[in-house]
Amino acid sequence: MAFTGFNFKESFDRRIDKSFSDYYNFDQERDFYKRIVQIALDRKYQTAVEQKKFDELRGVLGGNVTVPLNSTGKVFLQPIAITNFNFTTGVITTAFPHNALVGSIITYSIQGNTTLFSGSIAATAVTDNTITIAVTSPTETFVSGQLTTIGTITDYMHLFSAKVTYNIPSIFELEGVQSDTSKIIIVFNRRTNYRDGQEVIISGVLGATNANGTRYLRQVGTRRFQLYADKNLLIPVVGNNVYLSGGAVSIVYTSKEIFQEKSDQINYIDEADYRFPRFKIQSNAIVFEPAENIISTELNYMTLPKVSIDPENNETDLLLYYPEGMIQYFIDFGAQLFDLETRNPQGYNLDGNQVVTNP
Amino acid sequence: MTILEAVQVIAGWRIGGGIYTDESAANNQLLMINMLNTASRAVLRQYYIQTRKIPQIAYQTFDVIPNWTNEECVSFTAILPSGVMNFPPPQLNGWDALYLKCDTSSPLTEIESVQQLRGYARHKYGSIMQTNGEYFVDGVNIEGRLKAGVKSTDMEGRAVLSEPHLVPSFSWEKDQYPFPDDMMGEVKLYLEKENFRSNQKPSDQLSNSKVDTDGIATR
Repeated sequence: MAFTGFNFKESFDRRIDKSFSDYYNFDQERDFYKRIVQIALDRKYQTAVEQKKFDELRGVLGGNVTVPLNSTGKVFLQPIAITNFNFTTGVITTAFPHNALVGSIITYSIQGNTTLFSGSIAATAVTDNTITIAVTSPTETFVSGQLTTIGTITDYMHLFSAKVTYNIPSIFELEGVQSDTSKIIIVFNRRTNYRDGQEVIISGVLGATNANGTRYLRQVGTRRFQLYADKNLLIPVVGNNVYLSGGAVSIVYTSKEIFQEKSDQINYIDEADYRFPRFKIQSNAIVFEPAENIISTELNYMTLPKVSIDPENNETDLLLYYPEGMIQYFIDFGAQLFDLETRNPQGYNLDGNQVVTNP
Repeated sequence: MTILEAVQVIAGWRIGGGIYTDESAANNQLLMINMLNTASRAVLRQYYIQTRKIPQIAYQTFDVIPNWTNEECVSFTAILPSGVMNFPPPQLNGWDALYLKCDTSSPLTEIESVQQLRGYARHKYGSIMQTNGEYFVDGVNIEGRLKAGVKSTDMEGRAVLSEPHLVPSFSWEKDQYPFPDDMMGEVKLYLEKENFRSNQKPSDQLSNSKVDTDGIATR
């Protein structure tokens, strides 16, 4: 059975023991419900250490969202505000240091005094706070605007954790490639820390070109590895020609889940590296370090609510977005907020007990 | 166990009142790796003093990339992957062997100082000993020379290192941490002892002279 925004209003009015519409109109109710949802989600996030909380938050958990990264190492958590656009030179000035590089595709929406300019285009020049695009209209003046880059997520609320993927040039050099019709064996110049199943990217091998590409290693000596096409090491790569020269190896490394550093004490003596990346949230962005050789990040975060509770809507089923327990919590917690708004200390204490009953 | 598994084990011990329990945070992982290295090396040292033996698993084999310091390729310097562990006599230190790649019959002979290296080269027995050369190590470098007529481009070393995870050929995910699993309990005892000391410092937050006096008395 569906539970709509209208049903929510009915339950909520019953819960606060008075008709809410006596106090507010629908617009005010919508705003109030939005406030309930926002603060209630925040409270659940703050205490999200047990399964119950995660289950209740499941409709707003964005799991394993992969965001491509460039050498700025930044994921923007919302569109970037534009503070000025020069309609003569095409120079955008952003409110925060952006993450666009020359050639990055940006999606912009700029309101001029007469026309809305929007679209996607490559940046032709950048500084920390400016992006130049090939859009001009000298008669216009700037009113407002925003832009997004490829490294932007627009539904972010709170972070749980992040993984970071790097493409790291191998510190071990290729010394040779042995290629025949049944296998290809590569030889490094010294002992490596690669073991069976290691994924590598090989490029630039001349002659035995089948060695090139994403390959998986099986260790056959201290420095010798046979190449496979699959992680389970079932499909050997076979040689197509005699090795001539060349070849470089890089590895794709994905860090373990990382969290906001609780303390900077270790930062005094250890620098972040690809094995132990770090991040800080600043200027509306998650900034990863090191940014060198970074490819992408995989974020686990709480998203913005995907539906708002509308007291006039009797069509949208809220149960498709939130579990029953969470909706009940919205009602209980909302009642307490309502008591605050109406300066009702007795009701606040009573409803506080209810929130404790359904924490 | 691997080094990351060892970090998990240490986190599970709740050393120091559980302040390092979040082993997934990178800074805590690094902290616990440093704790593990410090404690396991101390336990190894104690084990050596008691038994005059070093467990085989504690040795790591790694490449030594020599930087030849003259054209004849007889003198070289090389950088250690991490510090070699220190043991009291009769063991000179944590070294087992430094040998030439593809020629393990006669490893190089370890000596204690540059003075000894120079003197050794002039010693009357120097030319007849079964060795391919001599070397000595400090905390960072290896310095040595090959016997006349010996040619090599690469070497391999085998030693007990103070920071095993820094060896380039050591795989954090797959390799066993070079310390016996069955001695991890002694690592725990060591860490508890060290953290017990640091956690028992008296607090001056209360201006109560009796509390301070009691605290000092229990130190």
